[in-house]
Amino acid sequence: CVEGILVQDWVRSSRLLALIDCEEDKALFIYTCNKTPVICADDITLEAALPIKGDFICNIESESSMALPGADVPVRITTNETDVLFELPFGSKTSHFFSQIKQAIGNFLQQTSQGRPLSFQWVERYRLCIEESQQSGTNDLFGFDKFQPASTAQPHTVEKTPPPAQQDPDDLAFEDNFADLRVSQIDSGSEGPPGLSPGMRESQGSSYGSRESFTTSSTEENLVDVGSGSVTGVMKTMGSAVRPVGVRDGIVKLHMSKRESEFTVLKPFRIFIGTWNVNGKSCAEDLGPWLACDAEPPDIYAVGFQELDLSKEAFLFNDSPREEEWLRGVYKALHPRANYKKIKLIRLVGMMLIVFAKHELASYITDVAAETVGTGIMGKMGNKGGVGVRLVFHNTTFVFINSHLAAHVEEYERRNQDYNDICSRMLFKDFGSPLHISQHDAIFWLGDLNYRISELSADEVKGFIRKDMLRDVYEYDQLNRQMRIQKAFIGFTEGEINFLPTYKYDSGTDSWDSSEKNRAPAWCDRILYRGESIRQLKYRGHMALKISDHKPVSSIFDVQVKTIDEKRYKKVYEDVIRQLDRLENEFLPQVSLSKLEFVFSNVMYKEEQQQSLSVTNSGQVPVQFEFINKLDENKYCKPWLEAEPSMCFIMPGDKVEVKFIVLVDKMSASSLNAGEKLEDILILHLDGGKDFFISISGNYIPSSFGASIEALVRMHGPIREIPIELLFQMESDPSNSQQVEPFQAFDIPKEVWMLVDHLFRNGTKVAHLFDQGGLHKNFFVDHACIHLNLHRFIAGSIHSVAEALLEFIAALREPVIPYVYYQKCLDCSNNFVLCKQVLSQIPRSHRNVFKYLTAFARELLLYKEESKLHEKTLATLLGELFLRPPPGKEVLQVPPNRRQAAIQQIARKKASFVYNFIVNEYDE
Amino acid sequence: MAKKTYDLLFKLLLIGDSGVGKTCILFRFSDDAFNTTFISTIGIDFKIKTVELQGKKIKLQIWDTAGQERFHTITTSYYRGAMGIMLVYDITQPKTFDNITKWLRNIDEHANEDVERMLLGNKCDMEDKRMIPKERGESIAREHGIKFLETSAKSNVNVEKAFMTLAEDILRKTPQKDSNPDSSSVSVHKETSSRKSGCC
Repeated sequence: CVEGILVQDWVRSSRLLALIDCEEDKALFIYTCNKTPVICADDITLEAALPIKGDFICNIESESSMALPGADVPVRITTNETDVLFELPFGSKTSHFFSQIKQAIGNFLQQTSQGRPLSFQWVERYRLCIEESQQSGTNDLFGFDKFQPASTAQPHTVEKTPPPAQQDPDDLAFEDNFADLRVSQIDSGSEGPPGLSPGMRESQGSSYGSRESFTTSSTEENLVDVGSGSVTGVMKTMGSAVRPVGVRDGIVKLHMSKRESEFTVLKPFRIFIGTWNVNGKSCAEDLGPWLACDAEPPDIYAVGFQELDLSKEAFLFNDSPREEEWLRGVYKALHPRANYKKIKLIRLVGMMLIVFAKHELASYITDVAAETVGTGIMGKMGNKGGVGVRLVFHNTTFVFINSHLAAHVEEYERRNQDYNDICSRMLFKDFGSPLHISQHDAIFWLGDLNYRISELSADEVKGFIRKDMLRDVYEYDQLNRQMRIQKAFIGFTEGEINFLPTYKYDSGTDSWDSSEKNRAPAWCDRILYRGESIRQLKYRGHMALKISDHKPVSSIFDVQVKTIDEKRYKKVYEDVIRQLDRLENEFLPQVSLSKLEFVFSNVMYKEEQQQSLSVTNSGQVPVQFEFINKLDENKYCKPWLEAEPSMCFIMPGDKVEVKFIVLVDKMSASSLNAGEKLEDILILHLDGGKDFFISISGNYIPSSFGASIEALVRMHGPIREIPIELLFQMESDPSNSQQVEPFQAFDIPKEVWMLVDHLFRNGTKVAHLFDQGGLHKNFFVDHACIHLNLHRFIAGSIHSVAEALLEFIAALREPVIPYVYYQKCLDCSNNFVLCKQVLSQIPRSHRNVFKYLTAFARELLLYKEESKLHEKTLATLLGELFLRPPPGKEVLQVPPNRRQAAIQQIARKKASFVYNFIVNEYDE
Repeated sequence: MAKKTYDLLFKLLLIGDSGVGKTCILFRFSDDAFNTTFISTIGIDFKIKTVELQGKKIKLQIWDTAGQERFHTITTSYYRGAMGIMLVYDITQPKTFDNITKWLRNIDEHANEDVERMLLGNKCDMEDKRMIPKERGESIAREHGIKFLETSAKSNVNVEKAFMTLAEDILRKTPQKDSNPDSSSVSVHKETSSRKSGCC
């Protein structure tokens, strides 16, 4: 699959391309993306289903843009109905996708050659669905009819996944409604889902994948070549914003051609066109009477020959010594009053076309190309057909076609067919999209077209000619008739024929064919033209040349050529570039934010505060925003902050509310108690656009939750009454707190004592004391008590007090068993003596808390009957609370398959460590 | 015979203290306009502009950064992608000039090693409020081996020249894809020797 963006008139929109595999035949499905990244099935709509069969062509568009490493690869997909251009990201994924398509095409050809034509019925069903959904107006993004202007659109593809999805055609149960179908398919689970869901899943996975992997999805980074090893959010910003210039080339060309008249001046140039069927003869005559019979030297010559070489070698190997011979003959005979340069020579068997231009004009001729089309034996061989040369002279495009069409009087329809074949098969490549003959300003068609005189006998024709009644003969000319009924050469003009038929003469004479066949004379050799600014000056036969059974024909034209005024060209060009830059800047994603700074005041432990930011898409294109990580950070914000949503897609004019939620919990409380400020800057990144910095600040009310045991035992009053600097000092280095704290230390934090005391007095006989969470509301009440005034009566249920105790222990800045003893305790957990030894090493206040709580546990166990508590349950609970792995070591370094077992083992060790102390009396 | 295009994309970054006129310089260059109302840039924004240099179409993608002190840590993380950095101070605010050394150190620490740098003394239209003589700008630029121009986004002085100069410097270092490397290396050499430190 490929996820892509189709750009139409500067509006980019995503497309997702998926190669769908149905047993043997494949099809390319194009989806519109209503959202990026594509997350669920509703985010996409099927836009087109193109079966990969004979008319399916997929080509890399232009050689020149491939020259730029990292540039997107333009890929044109053509079928009988569709012609679209996609821009695929440079890289191995694209080439893989490309090769998959090629393979599919090859597969099709193979199948058909084995006489097993593929029906693509399953694709047809999808296509019906598309039509239905478009008619019913559900697909309002882009109608299918708009989805074709490859010449103006510049689609851009961002991401892709290579493997084609497998599909089971039997499961294709189609409902009437396409939308239903889509949903049911996606929902149908992973085991053999029908339709497009496997492909979709592929693409979702990868679209996330490549969002992360910056180097593959960003074209520009290749240009910059930062060589960055680590992928960060910020780097993504710098990398993905602007497409390379190459993408715009087509648009610049289009704009320039639209404004061509502003910078071009028409100037006449003289063109000589000549054609001669030389009947396989060698060049033994001076060609001057044919090529240089005018006073003025022409600017450009296009000279065509037929039957240049009738040998088997020429036919089979397309190799002829005559080529060089005739080229020299022509070159010698060009107009003596000018110097000419050969621009191009092209030959197919006996058909040869040479184009010359005056030396001084050669530098204005560019984009020269030549092609051949054989229409002879089996419709392919080069005994008949055409050769063509196209070129750009100043700013006017020219094409010259020299053809030799099918012979024999009655075969005029075959000649029409040959003409049509040449028109459709003659494609000049290497200029972006292949150019047809008709896509040129000035078209000259010359050659032995072989049209004869119908209905008249040889003698009748000769009779008319003797009486100089050429016009009457012309009425019976097949080409004249075929053109009149629009069967061939539609749009072409031929000048009035004032010369004798050029066929068929006895070689070396001016007398008509005297062989037994006694062929009727005919104007086999013709010159036609098509184009707005072409004026024919002369059209004539040349009786003086006698070696062939044909006479040569020539014509002189004046063509008004668009020449470029360099100054004006530059001005228009700069103007076009400026306009495009302006458009590109205007079409960058834009949003307006309601606020850039947020202040949260008096944030308290576990008390959530919210503020909201409205993000309005004030630009002209759909916007996707996302909060991105700052350099070297692994989350976009601090642990006490959350943005909801943190990623979103907004259509132009729409608005989205983002909630900022501040919640300090046990994970973040201790660093805030230690003086870290409630401050953060979030980077709101627009995909393909700018970044905003959003400042979050506020103040945190210190809480005994998240404080250290060392500091707590030295606080006689509520924590709020401790000067903040002193608190920070105590918290930033708890082991030194004796020096800064004036009071005598308590044995254990008074909060612990108070909670335990309350539980001891009221809760020893309550069932499931720790298993049942208290009501949330009460929990907060308890908090407030602990923060504000310890001596106040603790309100709330006994369960919430129990919960508060657990929370309090869990939030302690350093756990009851300090981090440094964590591993030791686990190691000796099955030996009570060793456990006691370790315990004797931990700081006194920690040891006191430990002793106090285990003693309380033993007390609770005395009332096992009522409290329904069990030693092991209690040991597990307290083990998790007392023993926390040191920061940074939370994740176990074991293979994933053994992780679960390892976690359980550690939990057992923690429990058994505590278990020792709740089943045994312990005193120092 | 088809003409080959050498399209390049250069990423430039504007840095410097808040209020020195980075956004105005960019606005002048991209839209040829000037806006007197001061709106502090809170984030990272960019504009594109296509220029032609030595017959090559070059797309400049110019990033404008927040100058406020509190964002410095974040903005330095954007240096990595830049091929050229335009360091701007305000000739009427000595503080912004004093900070140049700090900004240069930031570049050394965070930008690519081969990044092209350039120093701009902006607001040179305000001669009556000038606090930093041009010579001081020239001298600090010389000290660090970088080019220097005094600019005015308001009066459109040297803005285009500054960007073109920086782009040229980057182009000179960009590997040439010409089929004829001799001719290009000659022209590069010529340019290098004829170039002098720019001035207002």
